[in-house]
Amino acid sequence: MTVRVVSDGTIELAGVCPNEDAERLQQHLIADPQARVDWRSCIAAHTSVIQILLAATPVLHGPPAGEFLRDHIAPLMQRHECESAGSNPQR
Amino acid sequence: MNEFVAQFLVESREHIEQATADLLALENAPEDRERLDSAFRAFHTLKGSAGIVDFAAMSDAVHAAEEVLSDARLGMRAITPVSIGDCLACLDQVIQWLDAMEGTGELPEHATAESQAVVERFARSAGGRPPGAVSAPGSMRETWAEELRARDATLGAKVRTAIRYAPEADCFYEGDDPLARIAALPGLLAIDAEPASPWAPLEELDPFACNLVVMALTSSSRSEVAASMGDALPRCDIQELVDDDRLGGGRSLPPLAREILERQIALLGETGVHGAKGRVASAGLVAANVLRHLGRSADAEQIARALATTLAGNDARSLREAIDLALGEAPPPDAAPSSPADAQTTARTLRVDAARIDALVSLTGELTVAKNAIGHAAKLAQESDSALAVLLKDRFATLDHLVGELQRSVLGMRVLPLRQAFARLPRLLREMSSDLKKPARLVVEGAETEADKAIVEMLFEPLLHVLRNAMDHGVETVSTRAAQGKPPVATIRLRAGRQGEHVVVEVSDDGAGIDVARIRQVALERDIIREDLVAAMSDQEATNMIFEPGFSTARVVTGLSGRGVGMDAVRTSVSRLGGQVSVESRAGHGTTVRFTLPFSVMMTRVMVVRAEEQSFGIPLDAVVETLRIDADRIAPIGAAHAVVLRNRTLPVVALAGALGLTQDGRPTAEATLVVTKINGLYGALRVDRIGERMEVMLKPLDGLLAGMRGVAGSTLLGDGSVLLVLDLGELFQ
Repeated sequence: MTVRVVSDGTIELAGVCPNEDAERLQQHLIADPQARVDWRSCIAAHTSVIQILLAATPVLHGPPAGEFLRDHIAPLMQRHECESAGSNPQR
Repeated sequence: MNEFVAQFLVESREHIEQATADLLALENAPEDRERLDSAFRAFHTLKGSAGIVDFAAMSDAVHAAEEVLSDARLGMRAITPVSIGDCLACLDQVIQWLDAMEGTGELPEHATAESQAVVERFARSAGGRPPGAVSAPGSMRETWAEELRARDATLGAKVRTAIRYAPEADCFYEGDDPLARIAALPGLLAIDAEPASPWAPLEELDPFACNLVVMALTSSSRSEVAASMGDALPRCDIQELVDDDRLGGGRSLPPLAREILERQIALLGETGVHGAKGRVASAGLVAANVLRHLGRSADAEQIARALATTLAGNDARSLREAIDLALGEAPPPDAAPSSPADAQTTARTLRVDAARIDALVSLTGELTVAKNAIGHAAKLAQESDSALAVLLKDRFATLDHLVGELQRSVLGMRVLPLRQAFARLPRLLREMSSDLKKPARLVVEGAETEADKAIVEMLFEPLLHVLRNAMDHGVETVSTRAAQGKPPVATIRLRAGRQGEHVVVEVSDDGAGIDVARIRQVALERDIIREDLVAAMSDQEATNMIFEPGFSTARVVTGLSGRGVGMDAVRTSVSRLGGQVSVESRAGHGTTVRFTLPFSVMMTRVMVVRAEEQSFGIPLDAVVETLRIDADRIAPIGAAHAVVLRNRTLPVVALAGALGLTQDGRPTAEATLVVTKINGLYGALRVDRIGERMEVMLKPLDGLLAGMRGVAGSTLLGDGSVLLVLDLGELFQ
């Protein structure tokens, strides 16, 4: 299982998250909109998974393990969080 | 005409042919991915070449069609008969432009307005999408690249290329991972992504639909980025952010040429595709042609050589490097210089101007004449019975053999596949079919059969005419077909094949067949034949009357056929090249029109006859027998003459009289006749003497003699005299 909810309610992404993980991640985030996402052991994630993260902007616990995620996706997440926080202050 | 434009015309026509074939195939099989890709490529290349000759109006029109196909490739739009019709109409317009350019060498005058009409037609079909929306405005494109660059100042001079990639919404289903593509870009510096449309609330978000637009900056070249994106390239906007001068040292390419070259690199990057070798070959040819267009023939040669290496070694790398080089990219440092053996291999096909081939054919003809003259000399020498004569005869035999070989090879260069004559027919049948509301399909067999260029070029009109007749008169309406238990869609079969020295082309339909009773009736009404003769005719003979001048059974003049140009025109043009046409019909089952054509128009076997001390050639094909009879047996019938031979009455034509030669008027007791059979009809030609038989290279008459009645062409004889070869069909009319 590359997407799972650990004991404190944190959603953990691990290893290489395939396309199918997007729906699971989405379901977990719908169930608990405040859940943190821990992607420290995530090596790579399919675009669909990253898309869910971009849309939901959860609090991310990183840095991720994979180089591309760390160098390129994590900064992107930060920018998006800022943008959506600016436009959506109640979040 | 500018060489540039001439090349553009030739190539555009090839692409149009390809695109038309693909579109028609797509109409039958909209899911055919290969055809779709091929059509897309054809349109894309057309657009590119229009750019090269600065024909913006054509670029715009073709772009609109390309857009439709591109959307279809991305699954954003379905291929419908309407979109196929739009694309075909676009090609029609392009053909008109090309025709106009062919005449003037200039860009057509009203092209902009015409192009606008094409674009609007596409817009209407797209459901009111305004024409402006077809292409994205350029100003917006530049901003994203600059913004992206401005975001991280540290990247600075490293940034070379920016890419904006909008994956299709259902790409996840295809197993695509857009960010992984971006991650794989060489020299990736920074990325950004934004939703293609604003995010839906998480509960409503479709996790299986891609809603991202990804942008990236790289330190690699535009072509490297393009190659890396592979089949996603049509969804990408790639911009080079450095000046061309810095890269190419002033040899910068026009943007469209650059795009075409990059597209070829991308094609080469696709692996594991069916028909990879053909793909490599076309990529190389296109790249070389683009460079040749631009006058960079050294680069083009380089690419042609690299292509040969690539094809021989099954490794696309050398071709890629050559294209990269032409693009002004430095080759990767590990690129090994090609070995001398490689450098000597050249491309296997050449594009040669037809006029040069014709010059060669004509020279070979002269050589044959010279050889015949030597033969004549050898024969004279033999009379002196010297040792030299034996030697001469011996050498002549060798020369004869070699010239024969040369002639065959040279004529072999003039052959074309019949496909060229067939190519436009499916398209035209489609139109006829929809105009007449008679659904029909065209089955083509043996399109690769080869024949002399003159034959292939001549064949289109007659075939079209026969096809029109089949649709107009042969194929029944849907309801009639249903009543007879025939399938609603009529089948028209176009079949070609080689039979010995002949090429046979047949057009058969599964329609009603020829109404023989009606043919007889019409023949009487139009005074084509006497009543008693009609009655005596067999059905086959009656059917053959459709080839008579002035014959047309159409009750209503339709837009298709029945405009007074009948099957006689078909027969005339076919026989002009030494061919014959025949028809077979079975009531209720259909009609077959068969063209029997010589494989090569140039060599004709003739029999020499003499009339009033002049020699003439008669095509040996047409000669049945020769005989001498008592002149009394030739009886006058009205103004004409006839003779009864083996219970058959033959018209007799005196050659001297028919050609208007001065006759010295001494009637002879014996008459020499050559009995001929042309298009199934027998006749007798009265001549003074019969001479030898020979194989000659026939030249069509030109200049003052071009319109001369009864003469098919001329040839030079061994002794230097000119022999006129007769057209018997015309003589007996």
